[in-house]
Formats: sequence, structure tokens, C-alpha cells
Amino acid sequence: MGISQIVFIVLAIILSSLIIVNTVKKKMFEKESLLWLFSMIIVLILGIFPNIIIIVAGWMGIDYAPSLLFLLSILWLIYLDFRLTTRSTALDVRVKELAQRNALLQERISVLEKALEQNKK
Amino acid sequence: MVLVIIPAFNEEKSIIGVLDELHAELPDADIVVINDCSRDNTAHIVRKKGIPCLDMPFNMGYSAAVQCGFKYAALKGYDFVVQFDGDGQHIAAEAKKLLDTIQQTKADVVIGSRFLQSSGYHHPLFRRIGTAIFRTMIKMACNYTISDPTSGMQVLSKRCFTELSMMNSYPEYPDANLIIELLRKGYRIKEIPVKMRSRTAGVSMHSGIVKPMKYMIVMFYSIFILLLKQRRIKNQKEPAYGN
Repeated sequence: MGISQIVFIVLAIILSSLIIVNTVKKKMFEKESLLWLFSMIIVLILGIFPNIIIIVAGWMGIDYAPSLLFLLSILWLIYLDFRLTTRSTALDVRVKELAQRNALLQERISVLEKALEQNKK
Repeated sequence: MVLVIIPAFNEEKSIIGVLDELHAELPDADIVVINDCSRDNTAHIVRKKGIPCLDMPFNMGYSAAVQCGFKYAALKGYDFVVQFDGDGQHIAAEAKKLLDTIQQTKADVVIGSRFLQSSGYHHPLFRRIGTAIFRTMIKMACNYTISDPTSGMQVLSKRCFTELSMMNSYPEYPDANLIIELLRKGYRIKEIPVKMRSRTAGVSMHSGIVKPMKYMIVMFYSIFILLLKQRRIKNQKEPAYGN
């Protein structure tokens, strides 16, 4: 087992632990952290069995196997980023909706408060 | 004081029957419907019957609607909350049995179990396997037997629903994971046998193939995280998300 393999494996274990600790501490939702944990499990598997990438690269006609690793990593990160972007958009829409409802409710409350004061008089 | 909370999403076909049944069997209980952004006439029907209806500003899912009901109950000072489905599966007379039990036994949660006694309830194979797995996990984590960990028919005491109403991490699927959390925090949970009907209208939140698989994966992970969390946190106040 080479030094680079050991580094891969150690990194995967450290990052997996970080993900779990952050989930336990409520810094990440469980559903989101599962995706990151899945990524680290793949890194760990590839660290232990690096030949998997060489074999799959061979099937795909890719001469330089690490290129496949880079390609898959970039595609996965694009997917995660895309997912975050769509979630962020949905959250923006919800925040706007809540802010607008809040403004309308405040107006209703102030109208009701005025009516209550006038009734007391 | 008793509050029946009914989370509802597109239940216009069954909600009138549910409300009428509850009025007949639990005349002294208040009812609140949490409308999870239904696209049909659910909210209109509920208001027409004079029942309070909390409109969620967007569709947040079953667990957010239930927690909203808990917040309402805590705000208004209710003593017990009955969790009741709006799809016609739950039987109001059975809910009355749960209420009687919680008042007699001083339990914090009474769960209506479809499986403590043979009730003729049809439970699909995949769900039966899931239920068996969760039963085993609860037994291993808490040394306690819950025969129906996914039952949505429950009665909760003030102490319990008040804590759940303030929980930032109230789970998306409040089933076996929530039971484990409550048991490990020292809440008293009891089960009694109840009968339930099969769903008459609407779509289950666990329908299809992808949804149940996603549910199982999230549940296992949630229980794993919960067991890790409770090993390091004992009687500490739960931090808010992002802090």
C-alpha cells in the first residue's frame, strides 16, 4: 500500500468523522450529510481498492486512469452544487413569502388594535 | 383540556367524515387542522365546519405540520394532544381509549398499536419488514418493546408535546427515531391495541418504491446519529441548527 493510498484513506476517515460530528452537533441536516458521507465512502473504497478506477477507465477507453477520477469528482461536485443552488432558490422564495405574510399580518394586527382601542373608548 | 391535531394535505374527500366522527366520540375535545398547503378544498371545508385551521405558508410535510400542532397546543395551554390522521384511517373511538389510558396510567405517550392484537389491518409486506426492523432497533437501543413504531395515532402529555414543539431537530419522519429519543430521555411510553381502517382516499406519504427506500435509509442514519448524540449529550439543552 503506497503513501498516497494511506493519505486517501486517512483523509476519507477524517472527513467522514467531521461530517458525522457536524450532523450530531446539528450543523448539518441528516439528509444532506448522507450525500457527503456517501462521497467519503466512495473515496475510502477507492483508497483501499485503487484498481477499481484503473479497471473502469479501461472499460471507458481512458488511457490515464486518474483523469476518470477527476472527471467523476468534478461531476459529483457539480451535482452537489446544483442541488444546493436549487435549494437556496427554494429557500429564497420561502423567505420572501414569509416576509410578505409577516408584513400583511402586522398591518392586520395594527388595524385590530386600533379597532379594540376605539371600542374601549 | 384535550386538543386533537389533524395534519391534512389534500384530504377533502375524507376530512368531513373524520371531523364528524371526532365530534361524536370526543365531544369535549378541541380540534385543530393543520393545512399543509392543500391544493383542494380541505381548508375551506374545515373552516365551514367552524374548526380552527392553521394554514402552512408552503408545503412542509407531515412532521412540520404535526410540530405546528404541538406549538399551537403549547401556546393555548392544552393538557393532552391527540395525533389523528385526516385520511379516515384512524377511528375516533380508539382515540378515546388512548386518552383514557394516558389519564389513568400517567404515561407521557400512549401509542395506538395495530399489531398488539390481531385487528385485520392489512400491512403490506415491505412495510411489515420495515416495522420489524424498527422494532428490533428500539429493543436494542432501549431494551423496550414497541410493537407499532410507525403508528401515527398517539396521545401525548403536556410535558412531552411541549418539548417536541421546541425541538429544532424534530425529525422529518417522526417514527422509531423519535421513540428512541423519547425513551432515552426518560419519557414513559405505553402502547395499547387499536383498530384502524385502510386508507379510503388520498395518497400515502410512503407510496411508491423510491419514497419507502429513501425513508428507510434516512431512518437508519437518523437512529445512528441519535445514538451517537445521546452518548455525548445528557440533559443538555439542544443547540439550534447552524450554531
